[in-house]
Amino acid sequence: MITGMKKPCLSDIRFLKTKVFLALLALAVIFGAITFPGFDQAGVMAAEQGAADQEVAADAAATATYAPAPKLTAADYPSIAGINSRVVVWIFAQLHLWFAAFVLAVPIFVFIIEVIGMKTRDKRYDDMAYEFIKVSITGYSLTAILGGGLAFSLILFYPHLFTYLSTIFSESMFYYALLFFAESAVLYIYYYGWHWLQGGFKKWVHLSLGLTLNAVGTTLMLLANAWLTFMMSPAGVDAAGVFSGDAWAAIHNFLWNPINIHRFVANIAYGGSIVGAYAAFKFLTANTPQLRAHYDWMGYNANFIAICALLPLPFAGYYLAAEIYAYSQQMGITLMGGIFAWLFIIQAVLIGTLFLSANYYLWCGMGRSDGAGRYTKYIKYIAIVLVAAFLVWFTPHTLVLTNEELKALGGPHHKILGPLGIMPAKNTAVNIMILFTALSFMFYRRANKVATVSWVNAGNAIQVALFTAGIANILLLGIYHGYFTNTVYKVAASIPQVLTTLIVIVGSITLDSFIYKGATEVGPLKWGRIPERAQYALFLLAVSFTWLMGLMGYIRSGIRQHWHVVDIMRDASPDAFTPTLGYAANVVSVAAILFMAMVMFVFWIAQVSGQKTLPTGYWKE
Amino acid sequence: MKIPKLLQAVLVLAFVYFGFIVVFDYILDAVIPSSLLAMYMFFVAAGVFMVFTYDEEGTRELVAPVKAMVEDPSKRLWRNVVFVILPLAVGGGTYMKMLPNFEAPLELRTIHPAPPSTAKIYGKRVNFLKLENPYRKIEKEDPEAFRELVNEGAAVYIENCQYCHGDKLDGNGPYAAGLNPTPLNFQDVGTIAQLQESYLFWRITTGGPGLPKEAAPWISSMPVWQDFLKEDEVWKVILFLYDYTGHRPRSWEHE
Amino acid sequence: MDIKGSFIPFLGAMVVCCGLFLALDAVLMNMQGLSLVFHQ
Repeated sequence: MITGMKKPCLSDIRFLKTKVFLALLALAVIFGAITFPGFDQAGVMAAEQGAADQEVAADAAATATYAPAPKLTAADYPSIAGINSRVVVWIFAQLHLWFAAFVLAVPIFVFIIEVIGMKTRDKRYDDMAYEFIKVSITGYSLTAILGGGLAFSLILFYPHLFTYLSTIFSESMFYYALLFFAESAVLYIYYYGWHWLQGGFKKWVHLSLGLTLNAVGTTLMLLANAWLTFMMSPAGVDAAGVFSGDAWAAIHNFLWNPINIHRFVANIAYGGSIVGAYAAFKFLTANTPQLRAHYDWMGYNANFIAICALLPLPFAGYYLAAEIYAYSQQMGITLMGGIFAWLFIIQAVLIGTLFLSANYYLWCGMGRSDGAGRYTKYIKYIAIVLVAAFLVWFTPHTLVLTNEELKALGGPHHKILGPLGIMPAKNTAVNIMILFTALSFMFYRRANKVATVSWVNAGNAIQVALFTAGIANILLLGIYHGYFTNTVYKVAASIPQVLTTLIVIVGSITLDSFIYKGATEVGPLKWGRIPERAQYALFLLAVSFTWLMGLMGYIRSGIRQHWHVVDIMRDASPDAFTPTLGYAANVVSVAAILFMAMVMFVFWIAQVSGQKTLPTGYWKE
Repeated sequence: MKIPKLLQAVLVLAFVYFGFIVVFDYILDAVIPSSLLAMYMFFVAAGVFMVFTYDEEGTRELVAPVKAMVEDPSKRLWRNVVFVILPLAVGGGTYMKMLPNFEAPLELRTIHPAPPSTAKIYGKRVNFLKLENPYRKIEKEDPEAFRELVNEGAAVYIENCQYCHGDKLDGNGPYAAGLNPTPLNFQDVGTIAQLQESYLFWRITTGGPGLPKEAAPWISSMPVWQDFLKEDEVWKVILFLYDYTGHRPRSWEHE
Repeated sequence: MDIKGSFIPFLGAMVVCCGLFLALDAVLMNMQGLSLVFHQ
């Protein structure tokens, strides 16, 4: 048989053309999805502002005039016997948000996993992606049910607010509803057609469906984000709440993009933690070594997704809080210096818990490799740094003091611990925690490899230098700019701090890929060889994340205080008060428990669909 | 001699705990609050647990003494002693915690209350989101005139504010020892350095009674200075506060 | 300590990395209208 260059046959060319066509189609879909809500280009906007103002004035004259925001009294809020309207809306909104975050996140990483599967032709990835989507299908129904519940409770209990908002956002709400046809259609074909659309061209079609699903889902999120950010930082309305007619102005209000970025990244981290909990649950209930190995692998991947998204997340959150402060000093101070400041300490504790759980899972997982012993000796040092950074991270600025301690200190401020309570210390601490989590991950990856390149010692020395220089830079920026300059420098220094962390992570991973080129494997990874404790770390990850999101959701909503729409439409309902911290925490906890119960239902359904009972003697012969 | 892992863990925890106390209470002479120490130790314990249990061997070694004490027939004497003492100790601790005492209850104050968006000051409605110090621009335009204004502000400060806030603006005025909460330390990076001038104007002119409802109870002794000082005097004092401490008011752009 | 194989590369990399990070800091602070070293 003559071997040599294979002459391209007709089907190859067709295959190539379809690939290109589908890639272009996918790009068009993404582009369309992005430009529909659009991304702000500040310079362009500023230049267009004059023209836009004139247009708006002309429009206002030409189209129907809008009413100002209604001035409500307590009588305007319907009450249904015994039901606390605020708690109902709160719980529906939070449950909806948890599920929405999950069903938006899963398609993102399922898409990536499917691509990896297609590239490596390793069917395990495809099967795992399918299993993730299966779990999220029931979640999708629940998201819709809870969204409906939220909409109904808003209409029932806050009709005037809903009327006002739906007048301004009539177009986007209409498109939002229509988009659900697209979302459902794409999701169902994507899921139910998974095994049908296999191989060659069909697989590309399937992948494009996944991309479309993401585009539609992201658009839905962006639209909904506009409504809630409008309530915080209204735009497109005048001081009396009269709508200018410019829906786009109302949509891309000041806090829209910060929330978009934060929610997009946070959703991925959250979705990863929920499927991680699923994998942990299945691992603990697995009764064969193959199943154990499979779910161990799945848990590792889920934890990896969660960590990847968790690393940039503190910065997205910081950016959001900074923008809230820039928009309104009052909201900003209430958030971090006023009544909600204590909730941020709880947030700090939960975030630290997330980091500790994720690291613990990685350390437990090192036992899968026989070569882990070379790196496990470093774990205690990583733990010391992580715990120390965590302690700094959650140290409050205002301390809870007994009267004795108050007298001993001469006042409520502590001269040593006080400075740890403000943001430069927190930023420094979180950057260190992120770096060392990345380090744990690198040791995990190295555990099963033996480098064969000649320059391995020099390579490792460069890695040490990169980390040392990075940590020194983070400390310099945090301490010098944080405490020896002014506020502008202090806030500005957080940018190079973040970038230092990202550069060290990307740089060291890249360098490691060169050091370990052609590396020998110590042995095949023993998937399934991990203590059961580690699965509880995955549970802790999911539960902490959930509770944290609930807490942050309350804060974001609560800083509006007695406003439905800040400075424009006052909340005159009987429940328009900031509840005590304990009460709020209880509501969040109850909601979290309800959510966990629903999630267990979702996991159970995903499993039940594969079960078959053979009822002997039941059916007619 | 190999120290058993359980003992190692206990020693580490004891070392850290007493370390905190020695360093803060004695060396640095700034006592570490018990509430904070409890939180710190909880997470140090979590960290110790994590380090000792990430592999099977370590966990087995850690748990072995406890397992032996509970299961090993030869340890019967120890077991009985511990099973009697432990509940007594826990019961005793609970009893001590539940005993009523004469200590005044803890108050969780909000140190940085949020300003309202508008307020009535000197008879006119002021919007804090837009309020600016009218004298701030003179700093660049006419440095000599600015110096004059700062000195006038200093005079106002010494005549009115230093009794509580101290002549060094560090919250250690003659009356400070009698006040709770203590007067704010302007030298600290966490006070005026983080705030806008409109915020200071609000706090000075409306004082303790002007604080918002959501963070009650307020026991601030800050007088309502709009009843005693003129508006321009308040702005000049603000200039002085920043000038003396070397802090800059919070702003969003570099000047 | 392996001077030639590890320590010298470490030193060299430290110089390069510290230089690069300081340059990064200066650039990012400048982009925000500030200098690296604080002055009023």
